[in-house]
Amino acid sequence: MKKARKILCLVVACLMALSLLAACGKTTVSEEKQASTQKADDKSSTQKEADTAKPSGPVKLKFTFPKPVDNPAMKEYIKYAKEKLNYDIEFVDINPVAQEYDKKLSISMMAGDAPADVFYYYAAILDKYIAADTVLPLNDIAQKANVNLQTKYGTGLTVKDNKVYGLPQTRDIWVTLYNKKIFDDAGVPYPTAEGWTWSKYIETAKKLTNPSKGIYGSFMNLDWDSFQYMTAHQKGIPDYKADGTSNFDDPAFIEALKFAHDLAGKEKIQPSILTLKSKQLPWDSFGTGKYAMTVNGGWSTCFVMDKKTYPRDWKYGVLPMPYPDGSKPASSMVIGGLAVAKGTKNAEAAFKLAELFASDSFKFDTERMPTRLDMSKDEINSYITTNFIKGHEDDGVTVEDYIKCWFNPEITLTPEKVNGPGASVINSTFISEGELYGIGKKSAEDAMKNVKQKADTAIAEEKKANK
Amino acid sequence: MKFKNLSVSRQEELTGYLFMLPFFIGFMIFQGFPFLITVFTSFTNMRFITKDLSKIKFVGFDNYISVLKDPDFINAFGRSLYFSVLYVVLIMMISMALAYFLNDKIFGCKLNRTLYFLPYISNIVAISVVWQLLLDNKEGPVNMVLKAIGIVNPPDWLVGNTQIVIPTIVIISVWYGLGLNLVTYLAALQEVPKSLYESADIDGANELQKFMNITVPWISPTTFFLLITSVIASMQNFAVIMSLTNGGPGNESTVLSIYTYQQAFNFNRMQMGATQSVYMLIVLALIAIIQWRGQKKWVHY
Repeated sequence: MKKARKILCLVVACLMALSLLAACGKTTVSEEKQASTQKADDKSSTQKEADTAKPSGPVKLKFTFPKPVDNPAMKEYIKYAKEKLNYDIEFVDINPVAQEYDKKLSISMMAGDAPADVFYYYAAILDKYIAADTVLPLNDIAQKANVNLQTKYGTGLTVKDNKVYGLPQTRDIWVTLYNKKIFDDAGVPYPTAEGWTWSKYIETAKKLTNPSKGIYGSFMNLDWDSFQYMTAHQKGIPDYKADGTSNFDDPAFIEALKFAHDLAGKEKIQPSILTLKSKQLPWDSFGTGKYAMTVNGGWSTCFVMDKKTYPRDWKYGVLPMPYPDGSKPASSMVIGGLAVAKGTKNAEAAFKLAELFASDSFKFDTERMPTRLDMSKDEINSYITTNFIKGHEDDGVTVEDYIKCWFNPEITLTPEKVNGPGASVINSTFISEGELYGIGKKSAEDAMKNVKQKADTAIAEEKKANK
Repeated sequence: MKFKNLSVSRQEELTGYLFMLPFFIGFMIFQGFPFLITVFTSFTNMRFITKDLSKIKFVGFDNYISVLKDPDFINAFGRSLYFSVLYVVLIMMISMALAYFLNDKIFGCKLNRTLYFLPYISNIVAISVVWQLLLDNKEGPVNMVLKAIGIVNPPDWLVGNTQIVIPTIVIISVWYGLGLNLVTYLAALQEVPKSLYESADIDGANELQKFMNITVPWISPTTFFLLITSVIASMQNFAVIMSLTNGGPGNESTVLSIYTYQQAFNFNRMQMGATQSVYMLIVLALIAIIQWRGQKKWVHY
């Protein structure tokens, strides 16, 4: 028995030694990186970081984005970047679904390693990566590369403590898409961009809704967070008060919640949240041709551009996002960007890749708008013509139509989502409370009271944690 | 020291340990070390990521106290218990009753056994999608049948009724997990000596008396085993709830496993997620201990 115990001890000791060796191996890599990071930290500027991180061989970079590896736009872009920069670029396919991408990126970061030198981020999440010291500030590298970030991207940049951490790659401004066939069948004239308010939207949708034919005037994903506070944001109501607490006790938020769910409950122009969930209506239901209008992010133009995924025998029209009556025209907007991981061994090259993507990727991706502020009228016209008009001339949509949606200085751009302290808890609470209001299990007042309470707790907790 | 020089019993011991080794390595990598890290995290302030370990502070039992003060945790915990009680009672009763009937040589006995086991080997996400379609509140077959037999307002099973959502998920989970319990019970029932039933027949015992006084005591070790595994299975309800309701409507089906996931991965409160996991472990361990101690009174080996 004693010998058996000895053997067992020996086996366990061997195991521990093996795991220790494995851990040491990992540590060596980590130490190298840590040492590299430490060196970089010791120097006062990111320029020096970039200098220390210069590669000796051909530049190899990893790049990740929430799109599948076989996405045609992504393939074209990678090819374009390889030609322009002469880098060896590897695309890391994390997950094409936005939420899953975010989660998997977070988990990779949590494990201590960025999955790529350059990674895409959604506006609300970069803050946590910055707080964790995993993102490289870009000011000095940009200066060395003679890129004036402020002139080129302005407010689209993600800035913290006067340091630029992210370049805007997507500027997604909301639009209204409509199905001309449903308008024609109902004998309703096409709407126009001028004075396109929510009351006009509802009035038009009512004329088009025909339950006997299964036609609805409107389709919006009422179970998404942004719809629960959409009109409050459009009216310019802030999410946070001056003292840092949440502003969700502002009556505009109760009105916004009621407005969204009244589209189904009171106005009956679109499927209710109960129907959406029960029938599992997909987010891209507008593409089925049974809905006259949809209001969604600019990316939703894929419903009408991508005829392979959404084959259609009907023509489409495009308008700006409707705005609340009595307010100035306003559209929701969300920025997505590109950041350089602090652990990169090719800081300068990674910046160039990120900057090239931020600057030029709109040429390859029909769903996104350019983020550059320095584009000329000709460049804008060319962009719209190439991406939205060519091959779709039959639809009768003009360059001017898109300019009215996306390049109209009279439209105020308001945030699509709550961004700031406690944002993930706040947006999640809006979804759950909005759902309870939508199915009639809670009053709007009680729902918003709960949102306010949870938001304030989350904000206080985050502030305490960041101290 | 050579293996052949050892006594036979020691050689057997050693061989036994070697057979255990692959499991031990796998267990330590995938469960042992992650468990230790979870316990460690629950005593720190680690919310998300940090390479700077100096930022991680030991906070003692602060997280454990905070979690108990969180009304959402208490609600999720309550829902988990509700789910468990319903699930365990239903699956134990139904599987035992079905096994009892299928143990007799009835028509299509083997086919029935196979059919009951089929859901268990199916993909839970695919099953969830099918159930969602079946339970569609307006045009789903279930509610169509209910309307046809005169029920004017059939329930909004998974989406609109906050009272019925957990019982509905429990029914689906029981349907999914029934196969394993059923097969285990069938195996146990086949071990009951027929001579005992014959003796009972001679003594004039009826079917209920035979079931209560012969069958139930004889299969009690199996019942005990299934009771423990069913309690554990009832807590492992993440996949089925995530695919059926995602914790909704509102938070009405957000049980502890879902809330723990939300805390860790949606809200970046890794320390809270870890603490909740430890609480879940403690509760499961307590239930297992109570069952283990209580078995002396009703389990007959």
